[in-house]
Amino acid sequence: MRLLLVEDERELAGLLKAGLKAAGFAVDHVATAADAEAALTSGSYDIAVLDLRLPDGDGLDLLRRRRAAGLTLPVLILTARDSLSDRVKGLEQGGDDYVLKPFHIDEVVARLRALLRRPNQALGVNIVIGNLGLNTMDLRVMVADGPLALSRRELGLLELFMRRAGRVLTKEVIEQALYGFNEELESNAVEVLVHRLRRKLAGAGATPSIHTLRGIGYLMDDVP
Amino acid sequence: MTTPPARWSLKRRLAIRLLIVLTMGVLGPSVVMVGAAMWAIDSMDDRALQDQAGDIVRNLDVTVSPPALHLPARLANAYATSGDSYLYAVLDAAGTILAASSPAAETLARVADDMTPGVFFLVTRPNGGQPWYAYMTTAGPYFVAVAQGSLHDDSLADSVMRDLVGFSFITALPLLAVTLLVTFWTLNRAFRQMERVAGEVRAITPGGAEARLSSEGLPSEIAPLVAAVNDALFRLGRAYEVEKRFTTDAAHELRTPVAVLTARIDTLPPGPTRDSLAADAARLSRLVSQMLDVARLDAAPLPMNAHVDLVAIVREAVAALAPLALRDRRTMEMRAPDTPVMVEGHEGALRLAVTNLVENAMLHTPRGTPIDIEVTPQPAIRVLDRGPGVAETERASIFERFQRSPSATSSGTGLGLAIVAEIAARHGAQAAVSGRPGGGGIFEIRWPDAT
Repeated sequence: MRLLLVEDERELAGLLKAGLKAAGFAVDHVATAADAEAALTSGSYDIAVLDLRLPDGDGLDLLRRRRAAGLTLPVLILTARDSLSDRVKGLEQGGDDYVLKPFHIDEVVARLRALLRRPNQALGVNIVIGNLGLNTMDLRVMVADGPLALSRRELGLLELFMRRAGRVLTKEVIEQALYGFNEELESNAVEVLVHRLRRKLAGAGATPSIHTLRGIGYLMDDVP
Repeated sequence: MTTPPARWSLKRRLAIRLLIVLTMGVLGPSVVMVGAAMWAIDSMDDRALQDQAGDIVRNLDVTVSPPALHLPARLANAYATSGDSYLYAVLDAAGTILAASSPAAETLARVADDMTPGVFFLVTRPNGGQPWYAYMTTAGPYFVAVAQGSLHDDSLADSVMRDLVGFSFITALPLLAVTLLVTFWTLNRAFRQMERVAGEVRAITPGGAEARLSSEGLPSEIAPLVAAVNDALFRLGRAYEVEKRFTTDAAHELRTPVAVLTARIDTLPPGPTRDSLAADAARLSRLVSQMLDVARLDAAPLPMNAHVDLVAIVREAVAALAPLALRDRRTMEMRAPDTPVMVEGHEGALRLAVTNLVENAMLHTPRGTPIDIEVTPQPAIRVLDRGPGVAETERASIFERFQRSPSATSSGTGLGLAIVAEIAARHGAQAAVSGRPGGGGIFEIRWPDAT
């Protein structure tokens, strides 16, 4: 995986580069918006990590420009927390993910892997969490090398959980993702579906578990 | 200091004053003209009497005794046929009538006897009716009194006055109406422009000091005010920019070293030293973030004009923190109505307040203890924990900056609850802490009942 790292702070860039390399990425580092634009235009990267504040320009402007010119590769944004501005909100609503500074390198790596799982090409991808694997192309689920049969809805829910592992899915998000706009929906449909999926995963001996946060949502993680 | 609202409007004042001025402008000349006309009528009567007396005097031969009156036929005829409308009498100093137009002249002579020559006077008719208007003059040693029925009587003056006043009002009323219309139209146009500018002013939000008011279409009297406001906005905008610039610069400059530190600690081999360094770095990072949040809150008032749903905001903020709670082996539950709970406010600030409330609970209660969050229809956000709670003596000061409970763990910054209180206050709400039945604390942001 070729990764473009755009970060002007030299020490942070050095540490990030080392951490990302250790995680298996081939990292190229640039420190200015101009160099970043040139590198992105070359089109030889699979993913990019972009600091928003660059000495010669704003990272978000650069990204918007390249997006308008047809850039499709996933971009993870590094940003300082600014709770009172709507900037982070804007990022959340956009397709790309963001990480707040300061961050743990593990978190950056996890987010990058999640971004790479997104089906932005017609290629099948394998998402693996613990001993649970899902191929998003042929929708096969493997638990510790054994196949697990799931219904269409259960598969949809599992994919949703695995793409956003470690983060909370609210009931509304699940309803919108799995059920049609006009579909009649029992008020406890999501609860019932989650309960079934959880039972099947546990029955097959999967290590990741689905946590219920009452009134908030559900979360899948693989914390032993 | 506030000035009480004006109890009059410019339009009302103008209407009342214009009404007074125009009424005076119409009535004044009318009164003068009627007065002049009445004077003219009166003096016409006087002159006629004097002329009448003059005729008699001219035709009175005083060289003979008794004097002889030789009236021309025309005059004699006129007196004879006037039906006592015109009278004359010639008297001597003793009051004896020497000549008279008719027997009725005796009445005239009787009254005239008491008069001094050169005066005008009224003579009551013996059989009632309108009195004669009379005059007496001298002719040599004799006296000549003349009288006539008031031809130009008050009814004439009344009719002249009625006509004049009526005519004045017929012309004045349309004039008054047109004047008021033109005035109101002019004022309305000017006020519409002012209302537009007022709208522009109302649309200015905090941090939106780059807005300028347009003076287009404004009367030149108001334009300087708009220009002055624009100048003030420009200065405020510049100050705000400098302040904002500083906080963003500071945010970047402070976070970068913390980010480097955090990343460097991540490269250390796992162990208790790395864990405690990571905890220190996390606390430093939180302190920096919260200092910047405080600076941002202090730097400018927040735009509070959005209608926001507390349920959605709280759920989003709690969902972002839930993974941390799970990592600490806590249960977290949120209770909220199925319908939105709307308040006026700033979404980002409210999310920050909720984040700080929940982080506060996670920092100050033991791992594994539950944290519950409630949103109620009467707008309130409540975070309930099963930690040590807050002693009653500390409850008042816990929301002040850097006021940390003596029993608090070392991981807090002393800023989180101050941020909560500040944001609550900005929303007209109140931050408070109370004890939870069964142990623990309840931290809440409560909106007043009136909302």
